Amino acid sequence: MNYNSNKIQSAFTKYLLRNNVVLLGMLSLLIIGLFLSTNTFATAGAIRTILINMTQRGVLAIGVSLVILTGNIDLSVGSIIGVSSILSALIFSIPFFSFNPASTLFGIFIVLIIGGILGSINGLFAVSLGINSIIVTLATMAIFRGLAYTFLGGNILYITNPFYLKIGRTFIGDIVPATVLMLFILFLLLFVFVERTKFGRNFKVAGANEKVAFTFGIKVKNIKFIAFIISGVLAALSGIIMCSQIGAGAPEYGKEAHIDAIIIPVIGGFSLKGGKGNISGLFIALIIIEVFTIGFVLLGWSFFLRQISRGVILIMVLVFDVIREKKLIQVQ
Amino acid sequence: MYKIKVKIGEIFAKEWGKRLILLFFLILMIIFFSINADKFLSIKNWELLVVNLTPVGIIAVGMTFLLISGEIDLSVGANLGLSSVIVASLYNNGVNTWICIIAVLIVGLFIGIVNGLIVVKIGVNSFIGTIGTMSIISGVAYVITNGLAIPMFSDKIDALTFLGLGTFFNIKFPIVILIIFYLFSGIVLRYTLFGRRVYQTGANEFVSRVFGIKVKKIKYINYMFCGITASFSGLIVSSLTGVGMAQHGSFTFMLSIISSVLLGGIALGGGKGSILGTFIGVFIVKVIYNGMVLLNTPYYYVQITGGAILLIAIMIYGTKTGSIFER
Repeated sequence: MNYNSNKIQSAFTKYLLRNNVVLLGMLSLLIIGLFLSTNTFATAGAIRTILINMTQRGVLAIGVSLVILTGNIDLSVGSIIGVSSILSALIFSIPFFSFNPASTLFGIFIVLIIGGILGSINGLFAVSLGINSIIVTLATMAIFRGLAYTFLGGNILYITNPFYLKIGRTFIGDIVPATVLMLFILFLLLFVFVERTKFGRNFKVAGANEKVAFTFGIKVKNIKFIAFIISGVLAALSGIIMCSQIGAGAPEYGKEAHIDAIIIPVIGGFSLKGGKGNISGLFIALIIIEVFTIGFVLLGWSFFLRQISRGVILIMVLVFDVIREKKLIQVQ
Repeated sequence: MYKIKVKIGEIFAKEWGKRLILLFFLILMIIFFSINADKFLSIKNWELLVVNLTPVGIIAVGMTFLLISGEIDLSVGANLGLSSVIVASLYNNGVNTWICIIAVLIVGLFIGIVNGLIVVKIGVNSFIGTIGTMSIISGVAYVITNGLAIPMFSDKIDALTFLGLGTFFNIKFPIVILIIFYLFSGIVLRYTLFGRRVYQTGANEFVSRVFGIKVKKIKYINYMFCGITASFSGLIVSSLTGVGMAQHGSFTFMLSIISSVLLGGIALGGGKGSILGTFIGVFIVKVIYNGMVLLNTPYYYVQITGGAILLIAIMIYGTKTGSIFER
């Protein structure tokens, strides 16, 4: 398959369209529906809000989708967001880390590493010990959330590091946040990694059929472990972005994030059994969830009603996943 | 010498051997806390402990049945919260006490049916499916209360107040309910045909179906039973605390129920376990929580311990790969 540079763009759009007709259709329906039912949807403010929330949720979704691709689930990402947010608030209250952009980067790096450590705890129990990942991450969800509270009790800590705050708050042309660029780059990196590198392609195989992958010489356990670490790091990154946008860190952040973490990959074509999914679908699913979220806000639904709607979407998505799996089996 | 060593090792492999270890661990915990926390051994504390244990214990029975048959229900906490909210709102509006109770039990049954539909009929993974229903149910409870608590005002002794606060021959009524319920469920699980079917469904679903056991029906019944136990516990909690709030059904609460059942030897994936094991497991978890509270540990350490107990329980007993993890 040789793509010369002229053809890459059209090949990409063809790829996007071919794989994701249904999703794009759903997205268009949603947008049209919202456009017709509220007069606040088509404004710059709404688009700006979508873009702001998209980065934090998108980073999270990328990490979890890798775990789902390998056949596991990570429910603890919300709690990792909580830990990373209170931790970054604490770290950046130390003057050493606020000197210049370099030291800020160093501080961020520390938080990311801790996110990776938390992810590796998940990996330890779920992969090395072989315990089922759902129950492991259910337990670590509670453990990490409790851990987030141990630093400062339930208090919020404000962040005053200017370089850090700039991360979430620089805008291009007043609408597009700078972090969207970062999200795009991450998506691109993930795409290249999972679809085009030798190691990355093993993720899909390891998730689809462990035993066959093993006989092919793929180190399945290592891959699954790495997926958990990446999920932890990206969850920490998501927490950092969230804190930067809000300006404070609190242990409560990310309380309902595990629901999004399941919804977005599954809508995006990742099967909960593992081994299926593509990045373009993930991206479109992210936009769909963002549009849903802001749609409910614009329609005036209360906070708790929106929580119910997300639960309903989760159930519908799960049912849809089951039906999709069953249909595929029948086709074969 | 050789013979004695082998025999000691065999104890740990048998079912009753594991339960013996559990009992031993429970006694160890009790000794630990009675040394470190004063007032732990007092009758008042133990009465309080067992009374507070009752909601967890009753739901744990429902969860035991469900887990043995190979499924799980994570929405029990939210179910309890919603039930307490509904009973409080109905009661404050002057509805007859018995109608309140029956209405709440019907709601619990309904939630069980919905869970059964999603997990058994359609085939969604029981963990994530019930996480979904959990967020829907708790959302409904929060919508009704708007996050506030609904206090129940009553100045007479009726069925509802008696449920939590009454005494029966000087024993607090919840304790009586707990003992009777456990005896009843233990007998059902071990000595009735239904109980045996539950074990068979969990042990090997495929073979059970081949033998003509209606696996789906058994799981449905277990889901409904679990739902009813959750709403019944909601009634007890509302009666004990005098308020109905959605916060009653917190995530930590649900986690403690699952930890208790898993500690009690119900392997995730089904087929093994007993009511006695659940009883000891519930006690262990409650003793640990009670002990920590008496030692004035902050709430977040309790939460961390909850998650850690769950992990340890799974590590001890392992998980059996079964229908609970497929799909």
